[in-house]
Amino acid sequence: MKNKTLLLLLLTCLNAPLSVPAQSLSVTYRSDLFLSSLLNSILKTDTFSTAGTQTSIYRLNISNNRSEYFQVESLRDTAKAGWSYKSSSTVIYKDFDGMIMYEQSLSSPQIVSREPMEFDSWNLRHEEVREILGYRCKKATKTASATDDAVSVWYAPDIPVSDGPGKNYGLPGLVLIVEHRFSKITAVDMSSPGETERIYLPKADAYVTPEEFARLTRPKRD
Amino acid sequence: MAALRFSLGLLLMLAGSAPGLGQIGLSGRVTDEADSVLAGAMVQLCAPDSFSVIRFTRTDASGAWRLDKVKPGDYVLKIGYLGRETGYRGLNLESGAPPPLVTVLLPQTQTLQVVDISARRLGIVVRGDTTFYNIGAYTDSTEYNLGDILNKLPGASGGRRQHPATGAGRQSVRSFQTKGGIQLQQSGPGRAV
Repeated sequence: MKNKTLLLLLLTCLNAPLSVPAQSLSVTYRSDLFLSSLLNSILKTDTFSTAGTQTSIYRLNISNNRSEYFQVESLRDTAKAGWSYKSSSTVIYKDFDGMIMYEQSLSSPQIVSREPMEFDSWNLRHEEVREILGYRCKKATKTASATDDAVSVWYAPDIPVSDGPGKNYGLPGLVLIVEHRFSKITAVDMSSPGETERIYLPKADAYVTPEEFARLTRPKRD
Repeated sequence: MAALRFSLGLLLMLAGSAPGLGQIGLSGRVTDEADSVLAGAMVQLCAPDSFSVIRFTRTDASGAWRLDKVKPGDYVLKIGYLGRETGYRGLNLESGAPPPLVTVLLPQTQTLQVVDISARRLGIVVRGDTTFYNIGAYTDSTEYNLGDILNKLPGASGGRRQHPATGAGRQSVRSFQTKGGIQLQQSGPGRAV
């Protein structure tokens, strides 16, 4: 009986398709947050013309159909007159096998949002081309559903991953630049680590929706 | 490493045409020569002239992909996977035609070992009657201005004097004489001397 079970297990393993691990990729992005535009928009005024720019460095690690995107450091804070944007530190995970995106709070790791990933929401602009980090990139646009703002991205069709910084994904190539009226995210470095490291997805007793996550992790006033 | 060449078996199946519309459901599977599936491979259906992406999808966990409602015509199928060279195949899709069977052979991207090469910088190169100074070979980040750099060049002698036109302490001029009789001058705001 035991031999029969082992034989069955062996046959099952032989029949199961083996998945070839993909090489990993690590991309560093520079994020510039235009505080003047952001403040003017929030407060519905045009008085904040010199609030400055808040710059941060982020990294996108891609490995075996999973990715993680997180802030590495706050590079430079040119915010003037005491203005700065206090963002909550989170890590965005994407599981391209299960087509699920997670967001985890670093200050409260038990708070994890989970939502299905959606493709095909971009408008591909084939006529516009530019070179970024040596890659020929094409433009795509869409309107953010939550804010009704236009978002433009530049993606590299020759980098065969449908990923990008933050929640900018779903294109036929890696997103290297994201342009928005409040911010600009630019890829500044790309490397392929020799070792493929597994990215572990966050686990939680109960996952929350992205809306609940935003409410729970909203920075509190000092 | 040369043995790492692999084959990407791509089975294209025309799953059937939509009656009346002439549109085709295109599907396939991406594997390597060991029949291991390539999950997450990017499959792009491109225009043959501009290579613009018309439609795209990714292979699922079983290495399968599908593109529905493809119009008959000429296309280039582009298959990409991190760490592998990109594969291209031309497609001529005709309504009602038998399903094509396409096999793409792709090598794995070769990653060359990093080799460190060190060499001493050449400071001076003489070509014909011209002497080229590689300033980088003489600087060590302690220089304040061009004059400090020029002072370090072999065969150059420097000095500082007051500028006769602008008066003492307003402007200083550094002059340098090389062995070949070439005189270099730098002028700018200076301290009282």
